Amino acid sequence: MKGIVFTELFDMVETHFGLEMVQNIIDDAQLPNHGAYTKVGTYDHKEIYRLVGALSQRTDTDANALIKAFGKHLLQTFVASYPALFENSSDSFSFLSGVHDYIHVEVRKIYPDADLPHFATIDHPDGSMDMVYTSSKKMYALAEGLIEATMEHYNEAFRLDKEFIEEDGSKVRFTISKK
Amino acid sequence: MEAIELLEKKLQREIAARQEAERILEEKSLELYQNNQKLEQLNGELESDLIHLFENAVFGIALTSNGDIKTVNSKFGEMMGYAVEELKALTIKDLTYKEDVSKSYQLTNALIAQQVDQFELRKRYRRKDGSLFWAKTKVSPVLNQDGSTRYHLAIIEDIQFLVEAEEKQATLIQTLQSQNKELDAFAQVVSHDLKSPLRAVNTLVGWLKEDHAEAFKGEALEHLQEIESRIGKAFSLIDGILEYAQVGTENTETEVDTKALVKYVSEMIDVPQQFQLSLEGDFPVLKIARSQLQHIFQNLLTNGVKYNDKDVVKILVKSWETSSHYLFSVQDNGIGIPAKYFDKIFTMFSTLNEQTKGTGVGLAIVKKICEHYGGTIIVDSKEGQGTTFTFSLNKQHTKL
Amino acid sequence: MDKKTILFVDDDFLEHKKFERALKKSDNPELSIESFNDGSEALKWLESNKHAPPQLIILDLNMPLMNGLELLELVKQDHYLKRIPVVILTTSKNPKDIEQAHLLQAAGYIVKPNSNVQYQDTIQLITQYWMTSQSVA
Ligand code: HEM
Repeated sequence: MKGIVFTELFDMVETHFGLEMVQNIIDDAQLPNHGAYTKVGTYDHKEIYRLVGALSQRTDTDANALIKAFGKHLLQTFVASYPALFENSSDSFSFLSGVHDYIHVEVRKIYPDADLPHFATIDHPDGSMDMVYTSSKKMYALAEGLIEATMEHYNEAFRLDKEFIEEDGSKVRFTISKK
Repeated sequence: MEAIELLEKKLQREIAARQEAERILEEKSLELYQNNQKLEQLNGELESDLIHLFENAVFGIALTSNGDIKTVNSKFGEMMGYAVEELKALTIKDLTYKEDVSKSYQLTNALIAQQVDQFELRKRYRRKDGSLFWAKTKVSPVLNQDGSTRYHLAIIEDIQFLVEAEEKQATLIQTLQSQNKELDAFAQVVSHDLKSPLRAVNTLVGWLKEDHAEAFKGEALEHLQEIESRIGKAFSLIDGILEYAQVGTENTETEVDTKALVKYVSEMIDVPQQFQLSLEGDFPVLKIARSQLQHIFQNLLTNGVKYNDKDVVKILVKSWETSSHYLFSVQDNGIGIPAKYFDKIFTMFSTLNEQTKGTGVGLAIVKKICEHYGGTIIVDSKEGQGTTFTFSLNKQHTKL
Repeated sequence: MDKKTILFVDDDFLEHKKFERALKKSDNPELSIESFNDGSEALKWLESNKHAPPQLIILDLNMPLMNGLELLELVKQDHYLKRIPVVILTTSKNPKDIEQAHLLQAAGYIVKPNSNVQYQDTIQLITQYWMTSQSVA
């Protein structure tokens, strides 16, 4: 997992729960590098689970809800860092359907060791769109947050349904309908 | 935890992270440097490959800029009779035959104005010794990264041989065409001029018979009648020769249903009371001059009926095909032809029988038509039993 | 009623005689014939007789000076003369001649029969048909 994910997580935790919480979850998670992440580094993705697990316990909040919130936070940072990527698409669907074939492809060029999920998008005649998430990392909640934040970014009213194709969350179908 | 302690820990993390980042950076820089070296090496290999290609090409290659020659390969030097270094001091205009300069210039301007992406032209180059040769030149721009033109790349192929061959062919076709026309006109004139006196004699004989019936009786009348019959034969001979000369000059080829054609011909010709025509096989639809194919069947069917001594005249027409040809046969139960005449009947002016009913041109025309369509005709016969003519037409010439 | 005229153009004087004989034996022996050896003479006559044009022109093709097709073309270009039917009577079976004659609006194209009997029949037929046919006033 790229370091940027960890530094962004710490940013979010610090903003919402304060610096002490950051220190606490670092201590709880017993990380090999004691939380010294750099954006350009690459780290074991299990460490993110340990950090989120610790946060979940200390705040008594569901882990997936936290990951989803993190997804929303991440998207805002993407908007701030790469505005052009969003301006290129006129609406949410055209942006989302380009994530797999375009955005993540560019991501891999910058970080050749990035480990990215697979997304398949399907347009339905009724105007809704399916986005099928596949990844051994099972971070569908992150995807959920990213999708919701994307819809909000484009100011579009929507409904998001989620269906587990694999029970363990390694394959999840999101159905997005505009209202 | 004290706030100051938390900040201190955060600071430590930031420092550790920075050191980590620096280490990664160092690592990446090294990687970058190594990649760069690999690229340079690759580039060098590519360049030497290109130079190899350039120097060993079978075509002349020239890089020009505004008509000035920047580089040429040794092949172009060889073509032009100059040393490569000499050429670098010259312009394209210096090497172009003066009559072709303006057209070369126009095209180059269109290329510079980006009205065309590239162009190809045939032009004459002038060698150092002043001699000229035709070449095909293909010019395209070599662009800089920003899209501006760096060079024009010209690839020059000597086509002197080709041009000479084309010229020869063109004059050949022209002479052939005019000869054909002359021949046709000649045949027409000859036939007219031959027929006119014959007509006159025929008319006069007719008048003699009519106006002086008293004077011409018995043997005298027979002689007049013999003159008329000989004149009749001469007429058909002239028509036959004219027709023979015209085979292949007609080029209106249409779709012809061969089965329908055979039936049509059989209804057109004079047949005896007892006549049986049968057709066997798959008759194709062909692309052919209808009148010519009709001529073949008319001739063969007429022969089958005319040279026949049986009470019931029977004619069988068959059709079949091979991978390359359509084949037809016409079989009769007539008097037959002796084997020694099998070849002779297809040559001009050969009628076997002295009291013959034909002119001796018909089968020669049939053969010529078959050959015109890439086929041939043969005969098989047993005296007293009948004759079979088999002819073929090449599919390449007659397929729809 | 005016006497009906046929214009006959052929370079062979024997053909003139032959045509006259055939016409005499036909059902229209009263027809008058104007015969010419060449297209240009025939044209001169036509131009000076526009007030009383012939009913029919019978035209040979191969003639010196002005041949049949040339005369045909000129006749068809003339505002008055173009209404006169022109029948080609020739020895030529050349497909090019036949095509050209029809393109130039010949009323008919007949190859001179070789036999005298058939010739008689043909002339009978031509005159019969064209003398029956009503011409433009
Ligand atoms: C400008 C837009 C985006 C950028 C720059 C971006 C970049 C990245 C990066 C750097 C990673 C980490 C890869 C690694 O750690 O190896 C990542 C992972 C991920 N991205 Fe994106 N992303 C973008 C938009 C999106 C969107 C819109 C979605 C969801 C629809 C999405 C879904 C995910 C998910 C679910 C992962 C986690 C990896 C996994 O589950 O296997 N991304 N992305």
